[in-house]
Amino acid sequence: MSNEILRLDNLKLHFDIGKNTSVKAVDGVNLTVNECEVMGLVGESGSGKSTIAYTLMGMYQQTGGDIIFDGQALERKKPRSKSFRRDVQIVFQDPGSSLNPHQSVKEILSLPLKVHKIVPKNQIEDKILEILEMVELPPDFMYKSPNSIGGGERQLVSIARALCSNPKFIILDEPTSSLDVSIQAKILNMLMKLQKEKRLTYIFITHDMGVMRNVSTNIAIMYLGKICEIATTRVFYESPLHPYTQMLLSAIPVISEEEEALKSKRIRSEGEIPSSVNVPSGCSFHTRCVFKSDICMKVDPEMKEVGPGHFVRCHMH
Amino acid sequence: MEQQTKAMLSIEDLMIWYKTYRGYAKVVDGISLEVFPGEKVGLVGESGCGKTTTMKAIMQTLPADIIHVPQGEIWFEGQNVLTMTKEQLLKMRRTGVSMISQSPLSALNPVFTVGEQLMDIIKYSGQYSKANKKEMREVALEAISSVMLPDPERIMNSHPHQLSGGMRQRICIAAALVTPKHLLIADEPCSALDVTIQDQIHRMLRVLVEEKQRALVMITHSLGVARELVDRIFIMYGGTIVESCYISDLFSNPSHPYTVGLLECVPRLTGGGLSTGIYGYVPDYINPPKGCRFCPRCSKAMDICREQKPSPVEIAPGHHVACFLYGDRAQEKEAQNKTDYKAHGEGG
Repeated sequence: MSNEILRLDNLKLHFDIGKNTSVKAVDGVNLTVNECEVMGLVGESGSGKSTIAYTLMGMYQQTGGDIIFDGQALERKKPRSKSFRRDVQIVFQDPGSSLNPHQSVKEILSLPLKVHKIVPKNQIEDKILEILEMVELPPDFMYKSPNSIGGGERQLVSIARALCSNPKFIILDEPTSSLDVSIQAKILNMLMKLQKEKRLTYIFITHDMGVMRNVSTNIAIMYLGKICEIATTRVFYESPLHPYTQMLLSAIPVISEEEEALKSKRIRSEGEIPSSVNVPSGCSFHTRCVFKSDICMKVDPEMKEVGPGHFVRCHMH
Repeated sequence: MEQQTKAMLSIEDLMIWYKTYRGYAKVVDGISLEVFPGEKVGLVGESGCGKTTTMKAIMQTLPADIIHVPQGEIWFEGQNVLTMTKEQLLKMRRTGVSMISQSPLSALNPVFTVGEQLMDIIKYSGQYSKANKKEMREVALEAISSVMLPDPERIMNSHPHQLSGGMRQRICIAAALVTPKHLLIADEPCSALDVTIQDQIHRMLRVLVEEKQRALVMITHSLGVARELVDRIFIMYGGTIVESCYISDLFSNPSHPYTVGLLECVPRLTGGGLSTGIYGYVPDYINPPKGCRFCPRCSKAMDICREQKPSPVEIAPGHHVACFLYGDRAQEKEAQNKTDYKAHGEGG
């Protein structure tokens, strides 16, 4: 059994938007991530996957529940500790807006080195060269600005920045969704190589189930602020149980017959994700579910363990 | 060239250059393609390969002051688009071609209601010029319900910001299909939407296009989307068409090294690990490679690739590849299947 590094315990984040109304962006999420694991978080836009990442980083304050990182509960009203900020890093979706266009790559990469005192001042340049080599960028990139390089290279700089502080844990928030497939493949490969070499733990957020199949060890599916299914990757693709998971899988455009066979034939995608202001009663998925019965509209199902490490939140199981 | 049926849209050896301070960016470099009535065609390539530029050239919506077209012709229903007068162009846009843009938020005007915008399109399409307002409203309501949106009355009176992304995109599709136009160009209509919505919109597009006998040009970067939706596919790289074939041939017999690389890059649902990607980046358009534009990234590049541009050769009926690897083989076949070539060919 590997060691637990992060546990979310009934995590809630409700944004108040007026009298007695709130957006339940994250609504009672329990999730455990073990060391050296790649936990995939999948869901449609508005399901709260990025909100979990931002709450973990301390950009939002949770309104309920606990975050336990490395055996310690994070204090709710205080900024994250410096050691936490060193150990946990994030790579954002859009490198165009998460890198400062007025700074050179060297300046961008030297800030975390200085703040966390990773190396003495006179060795900063050597360290930057070492990190650039890690992400397979040529040394002359040090003097370029993020504006003058392509999207894929920019994302590599973001990853390099995350690696500067020798983190244990990296949150990847859709790191390749704005990139072309040929560049995406290259970046995913590099991320997985780094993960093995440095024994990193990832939370990998994406909506691309094809990517997820190839990078993650475990997968959690989110719908309207709640997790509806957690399983190991192989189990997840071979025997998905939650109707929402099956719907997501059946909607993916694939390029071969073998992949087509994995899709559920019984389910077609219907409807849209409801607004998180008016979450449907009972099971929040019942408005789009083809298998719904009376109980689904009234009672919110509990998370049940149906196999080793396989949890489903559905009345049918 | 003789054709069994006349092509609705044919582009012949088209080049489009953008004027920049550093010189001309030679973005579209001699592409030829044909779309027949009732056909669904896919144009697939990475970002920056000239897909959208080509399609905007058909609509003539490129900024005229920075565009230079050194050669090529675009024929739409027997007329050359590049030499059309302003009136002819307007007529073509009203009755001939419609386009679904990539971002539904910027394609709709935020200050008018959806109903007003749809009614404008109906009014100027010419088809309903004699109809009164009430009749036009009926047409608009029908269009909204044809894209499976609930409560058309409410949607008619809403502004675009009151609708979700999926709904807005469906409005754009409704707007493109509301008047009986012949060619529909869909420019990555679902790239901003979730897969479940994408799936629904594709299903709907397929039905609507087949029902109304329209021709569809689907621009996309996803081979999976193309596989679901189109009959014939053109793979673009760096402003050239590197491979064109029927969709089933693409997956059973991908031939151009770029197509092969692109297929390998797609992460599979069945797992099996990740590919290493295609080495290098898209070419610089101001100083593009002299020969084949893919050759700096190609693992099979030969000397001739650096010197000369490959022209498309037919390796199987309807399957054209612009690559020197297939030169000799195809020349033999060309002699044998000259009749076939005439029926399916799109020229050398």
